[in-house]
Amino acid sequence: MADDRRSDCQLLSAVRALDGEAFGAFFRRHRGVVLAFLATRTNGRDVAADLLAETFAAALSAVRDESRALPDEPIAWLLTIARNKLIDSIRRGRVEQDARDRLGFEPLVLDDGDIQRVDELIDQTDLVTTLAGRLPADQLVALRARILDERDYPEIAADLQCSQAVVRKRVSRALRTLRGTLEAPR
Amino acid sequence: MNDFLDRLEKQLVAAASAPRHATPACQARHRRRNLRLPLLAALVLLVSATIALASSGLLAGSPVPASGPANPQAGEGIPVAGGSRLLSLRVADPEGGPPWGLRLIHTTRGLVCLQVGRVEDGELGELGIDGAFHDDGRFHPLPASELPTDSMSGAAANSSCVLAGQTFEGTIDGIDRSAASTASGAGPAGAPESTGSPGPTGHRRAISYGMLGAHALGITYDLGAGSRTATVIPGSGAYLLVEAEPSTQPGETYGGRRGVDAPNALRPTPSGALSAISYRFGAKVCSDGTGVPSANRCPRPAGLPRARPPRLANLHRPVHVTLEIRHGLIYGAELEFTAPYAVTSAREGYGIAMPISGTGDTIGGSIDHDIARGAIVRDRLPYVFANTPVGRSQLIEVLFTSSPTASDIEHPTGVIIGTATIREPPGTRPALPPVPHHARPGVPPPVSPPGLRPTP
Repeated sequence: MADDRRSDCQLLSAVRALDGEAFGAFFRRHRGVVLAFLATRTNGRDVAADLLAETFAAALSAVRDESRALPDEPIAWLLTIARNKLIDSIRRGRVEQDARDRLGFEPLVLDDGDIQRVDELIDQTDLVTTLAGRLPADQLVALRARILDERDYPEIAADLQCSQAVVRKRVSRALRTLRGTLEAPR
Repeated sequence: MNDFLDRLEKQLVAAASAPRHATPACQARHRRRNLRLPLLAALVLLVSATIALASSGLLAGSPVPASGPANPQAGEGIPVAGGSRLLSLRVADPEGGPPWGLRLIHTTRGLVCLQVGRVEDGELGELGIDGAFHDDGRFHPLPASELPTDSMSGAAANSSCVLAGQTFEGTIDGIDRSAASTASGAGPAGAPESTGSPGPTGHRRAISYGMLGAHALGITYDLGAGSRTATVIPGSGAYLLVEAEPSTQPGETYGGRRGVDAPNALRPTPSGALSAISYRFGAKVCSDGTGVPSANRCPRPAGLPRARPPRLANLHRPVHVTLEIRHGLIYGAELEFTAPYAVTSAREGYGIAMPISGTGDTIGGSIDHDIARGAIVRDRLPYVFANTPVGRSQLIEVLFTSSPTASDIEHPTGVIIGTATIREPPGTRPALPPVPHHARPGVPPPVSPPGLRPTP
């Protein structure tokens, strides 16, 4: 399938106009990075796949909600949704499927071929490289350390040779970017 | 290639292409403007004298079975004796038959609930049609002593509960005309078994209902036939609207907003079929929302509080935590503390908070039952290290919050009872949460390790 050349924001705007294929293009473009994000934090590819489906279903519901603004940084917004879903799944001990239920999706069933496909997609995706194309460098470094690697501020500050206050500020800015103008659904 | 990614993409594309359906309550107003399906019928409110419906003469069936064990001291509690009252409000169904109505219920935990159903011979109930109750064609009363589980959380299909003094407006989209819900875990035993498909699409209903409080005068609504106004039931401010569900998407969805019936308070924002709500505060009549009936806007707070919540006082009471370790794996922890305050209703409660390292977020839960002052409280925290970086400690806070009066509901008072910090003992590591088998048809659920309760 040919790549859609529209920007993320153009794709999401088209989804608002009920262009379903636009969301398909959005999904193909970002499924790898979301899977890569989830796979490093979950126990098993099937859990990551389950969370991937719930994340995109929640994102679609949010985009179709005309009372919400569309996100400034869709990829960052997607990762925030994924992170929220991940936290919820850990808290509840299972992956919720509320968003998929609301959309009437079929239950997710994975076979060995699907798991292999997940592995391939994760292997093909460099999460940090992808994010690097979207965030300013200093924010990316701080965000990567704080959110993706979960290191402490003093540790990061020592690595970056700057004060903890600077690290906190960069992370805060990056998180604001992540959240965009749209509250990410939980 | 047709792997799960392709299948998922197809479902996403199909859902994205479908006409917009109001799942959250805040979307419903948009949906009303875009209605393409003819609305079969609609009717509002009011007192039964305004609506004349012939008795349908249905035979009485067995009462709707309870959805679970009732506990007067936990969750929503149970209806207090003599605390349930069928409101006089009757609304016709688009296809006729027994009208729809509301029951007002006061519970043992200080909650006020509204329950929606069909009305026959002065009783609220459900119909044996569309697969419910084996299509016996009978009327099945909802016992006044029963409340569906999880009413307060919104998971229950046909009722909503709020604290006395609170108000709400809510929507139920997609419920079957039988009034029997198929919501997972919330439906009565007589409901259709095929969850998510409660019957033919044309037989599903979109319900808007609420309890707007003693100051509420009326509502402005649009069910596809233009804007109309109607008064609400004096005292409770209850209203009910019923229309044919315009969406063809399966399943039931719920929306709603809570508020406080007072000037300068956060009242429920009109949504769903509602466009405006009018109130009388003293000598002044005003409206929330858009359009008539009053050009005067009701006073509202300038916005949601933006400031961080105040730092809570800490009583520094002892909090004991015992890790559940088996074969070197930490499956959870049992927390124990002595309750310095009593919990006698849903207005008070103890909670557990665990800050997530590095995120600024906090996860936790509530201990949702009555507790005597001085009682030993125990609570299990499954997978307590799930959010803790390897080798780091995890802080656990025990909180107590209270909303003694209606004016406190928006800003409950709180205090930290005590804290505990736990670490992984040498030679152990956290057990990982179970793989979600629930999504795989035919695969049995995982077996919990011996001695562990199911994960909430």
